[in-house]
Amino acid sequence: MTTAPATLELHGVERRFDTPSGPVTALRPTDLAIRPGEFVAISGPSGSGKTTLLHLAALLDRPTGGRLVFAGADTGTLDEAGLDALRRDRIGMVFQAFHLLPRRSVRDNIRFRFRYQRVDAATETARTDEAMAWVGIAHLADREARVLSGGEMQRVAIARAVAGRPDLLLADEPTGNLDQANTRAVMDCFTRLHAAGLTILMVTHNEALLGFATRRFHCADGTLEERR
Amino acid sequence: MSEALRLRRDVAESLRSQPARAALALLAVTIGVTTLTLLLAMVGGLRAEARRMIAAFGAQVVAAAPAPAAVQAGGYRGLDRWRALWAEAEPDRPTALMVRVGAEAEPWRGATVWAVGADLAIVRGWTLQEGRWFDALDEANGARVAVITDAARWAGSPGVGSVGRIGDQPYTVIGIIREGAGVPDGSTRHAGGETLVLVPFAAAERQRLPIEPGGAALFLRAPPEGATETFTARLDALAADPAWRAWQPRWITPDSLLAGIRSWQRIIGLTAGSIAALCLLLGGTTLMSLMLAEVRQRIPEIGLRRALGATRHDVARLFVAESIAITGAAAVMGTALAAVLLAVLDGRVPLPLQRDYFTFVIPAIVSIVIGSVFSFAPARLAAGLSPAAALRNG
Repeated sequence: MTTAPATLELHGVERRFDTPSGPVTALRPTDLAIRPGEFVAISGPSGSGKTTLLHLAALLDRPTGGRLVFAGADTGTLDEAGLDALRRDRIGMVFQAFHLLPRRSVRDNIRFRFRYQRVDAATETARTDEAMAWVGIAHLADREARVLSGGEMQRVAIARAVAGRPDLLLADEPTGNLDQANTRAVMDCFTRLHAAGLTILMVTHNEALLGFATRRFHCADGTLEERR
Repeated sequence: MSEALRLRRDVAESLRSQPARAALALLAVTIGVTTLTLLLAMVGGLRAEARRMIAAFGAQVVAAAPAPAAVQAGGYRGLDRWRALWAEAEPDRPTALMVRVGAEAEPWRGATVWAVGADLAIVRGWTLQEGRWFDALDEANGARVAVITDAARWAGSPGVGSVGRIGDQPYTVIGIIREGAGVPDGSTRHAGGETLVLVPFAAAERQRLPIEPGGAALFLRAPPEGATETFTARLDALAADPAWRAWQPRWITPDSLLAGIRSWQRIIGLTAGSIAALCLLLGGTTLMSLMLAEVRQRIPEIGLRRALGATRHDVARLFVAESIAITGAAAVMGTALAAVLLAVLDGRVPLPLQRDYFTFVIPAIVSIVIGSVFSFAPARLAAGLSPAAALRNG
């Protein structure tokens, strides 16, 4: 195990939601540290709190308790603009529903990664081409996203996420909408990205995918438990 | 790529993905812009017409028009005695009669002939572009001379020195009134702007040209500082004089002349203004409701943008930009449509239409402002979405 500083640290992080029927705890106080180069997978049934944890890790949401440290920065001390900047420059996300722009080409969807980044056009192009080559979709570059298969869409989404060269890749049920063959292709992508040194946090309800990760956790009733 | 180009591309992409929605909002605002432009053209036209009328009548001029029956009974001499009452009441201010006479005038086609006092040009502030005005000698001798408007010259007279015929007598043209401020021009509907042939009062009387009872007026030049207390008091005293009242005069001032126009302005302001405001309001609310629907439909995209680092401000700006793009396009289309309609309507409706810079620019600016104002709620809704909730929505 590497001794490098953690990319992401959760110290007693919890998330409660206020509902009409009273407060609901989606994530109980949780400790977790993900170091550079790790591939962490969290499994668990729907409603177990794993997506809540992922959104907290993506700085899309703020914890109601505990401390979340990203790349050494205590996110509790950052304002919204600071969180937006971290998310823009250092985090990549892959979603179950792909979230592609259907009428734009594959290339434009990947370039969309740079929509809010200050990157020059030449770098944008180079990184887009590199990401497409990396996940094996260079031949689809000019196709509209809406005509792709589910597996191709997810690979476009992965390319979009990694084109920005994030410190942490977060994947939320990345194979949830895919058949077995496409699941395998997508997981191959993650394996190669991890082998290249990318830090990955993936949540899935598919226990079979845990084998791809270097560290595995199970989430149930908002509680995270590491599996050895 | 600059932020402006990126934003433009985002907006174009969004509009392309919802063409029916964009077209509906575009149509609603376009109708509003067109209506407002037409309204401004009418109001501006009436205002310009009012300015022309005052210029033709004379801004410092007060007139009294006697009742036709009194004119018929009094004739030339009676009218002159009536004028003398005013001259005595206001000895320091020039007065002059202007009386329409019924006589054929050749070669001035369509011209009206007026018997006028020698001081009329001074009272009404007219200047000549050529020749001279009547002098005391013309008045004393009843000389058969005529001064014509520029419109009359174009209607058949070769100019100063030419001889025409009024009734059965020859008249020599001695002057032509200059067009412009304070003088009749061809564009005004006031009598002064028409094709006029003016002859000395004494000449008309000597020739016994028949007076048209409804066409007589006595003009007085008001003091330069306007209706002073002394001036008003003298007019009031005159109005109370039984000899003056026997003529049952109707006062004519720039204000009374404009009463009709002001009435039109009020009617148009209330009706067309309400319609224009309603159209624009309808366009704005249509735009807002469509934008609100669009925000709801694009929640996953909003979540994606936030996941990619977009700030709330970035998201709000996207929707405001879309709205302004629609209203901007509506401004262009509405302005073009209004320009075509104004070109078609000009001369075919009984209203003057003004087509100046502001007539077209103001509705366009209003349209853009509407785009900004009515996109506020959708933009705020979009910006306020929790990114986590937005992504779950997808």
